Amino acid sequence: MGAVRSGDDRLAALMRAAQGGHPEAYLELLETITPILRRVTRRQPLFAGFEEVEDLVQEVLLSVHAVRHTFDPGRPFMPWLLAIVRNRLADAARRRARTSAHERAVDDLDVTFPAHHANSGDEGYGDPEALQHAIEGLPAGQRQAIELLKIRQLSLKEAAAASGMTVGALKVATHRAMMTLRRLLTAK
Amino acid sequence: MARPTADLIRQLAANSAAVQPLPRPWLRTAAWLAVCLLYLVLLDVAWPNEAPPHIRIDGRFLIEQIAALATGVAAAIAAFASVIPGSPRRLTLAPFLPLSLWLLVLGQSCARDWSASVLPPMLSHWGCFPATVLAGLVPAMAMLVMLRRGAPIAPRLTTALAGLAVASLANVGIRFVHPFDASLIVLAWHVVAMFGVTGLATIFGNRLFTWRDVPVPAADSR
Repeated sequence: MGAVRSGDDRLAALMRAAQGGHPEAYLELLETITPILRRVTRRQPLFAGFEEVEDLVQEVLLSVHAVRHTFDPGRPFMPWLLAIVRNRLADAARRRARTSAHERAVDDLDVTFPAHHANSGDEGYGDPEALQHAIEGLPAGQRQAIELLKIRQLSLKEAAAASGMTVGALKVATHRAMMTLRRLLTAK
Repeated sequence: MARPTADLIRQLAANSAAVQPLPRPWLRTAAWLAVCLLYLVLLDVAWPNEAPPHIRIDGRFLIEQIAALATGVAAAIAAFASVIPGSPRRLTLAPFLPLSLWLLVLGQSCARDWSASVLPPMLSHWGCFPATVLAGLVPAMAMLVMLRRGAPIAPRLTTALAGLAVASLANVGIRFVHPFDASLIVLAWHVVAMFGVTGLATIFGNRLFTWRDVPVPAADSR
């Protein structure tokens, strides 16, 4: 009991100094109460995630800062602090209840969007064999560019290092190869 | 999370100007009461009465006024305490004793008038309602300004207590200029005005008292 009292006396003394405009005392006070705020917030089953707990701790710290003039220097510190914490946590719980009332939990979405074209299986070119033949028929420089950038998915820098071509030459070769492939495959 | 908590703490500490602690609730009540009584005296002096009001100042009238004043003072102390985090909640019960006494005295007088068939023309005294509201105007504004300096820990409770304090005090002020002596009128118009003001204040409490945003400047890059 005595230890608790002396802890509270120290915090009250720091707050009195902070009210008097001593930033060092205020820094020490805020650093001392932050672990307490984390502990109290984590005890609430509603707020479990690290980010959420930290958001609430920061919200309480800002509230403490905004109303630090309401601390009566002649009274204990912890009841003052815990009243603010309880109030802010209750506000957060009410916010969460309002938000979750408009949300519906879904395990997995079957489709991306209800529109038909968003869910069709026509992705990519339909005839891989014809595509392979068309790539093989490209000039050597264009074929190499397609293989490195589109099939092996290398970056321009990596492809330039692997092929010995400049980045600009790779871009031009890829553009030309794509034009040729589009023309060849749509003509079929 | 917009920034690490350690950064926020450093920023708050770096921008912590000295603040003047709020005076104790009873001291704030005394300051509020001084403003209100001055306004009510001026209002009573300036009230447009054609003839001086005939008010029977007897024991019942005095008990009624003292109970109403005590209700206002107790409610004001409780309202100012309600914006101090961690202040004892039992203070919020303080106004109920004088309020009960006030309503009891009024109720007894009403019953006596009723049994003696001395029923006043109620509707002709409808002016008591806006008069009570007018008398409460400055006390309400002063109370609002003073309460907003505190912490919005229980906004609805704060506004309910503030409404009770303002309406009780306004009733005391207006009773000295209204030339009637029927408890039923007081009950009908003054007490209805009091509960109306208290009810409205309670409804809008959450909007009147909200947590203020604290501007936090960018961190000092030391």
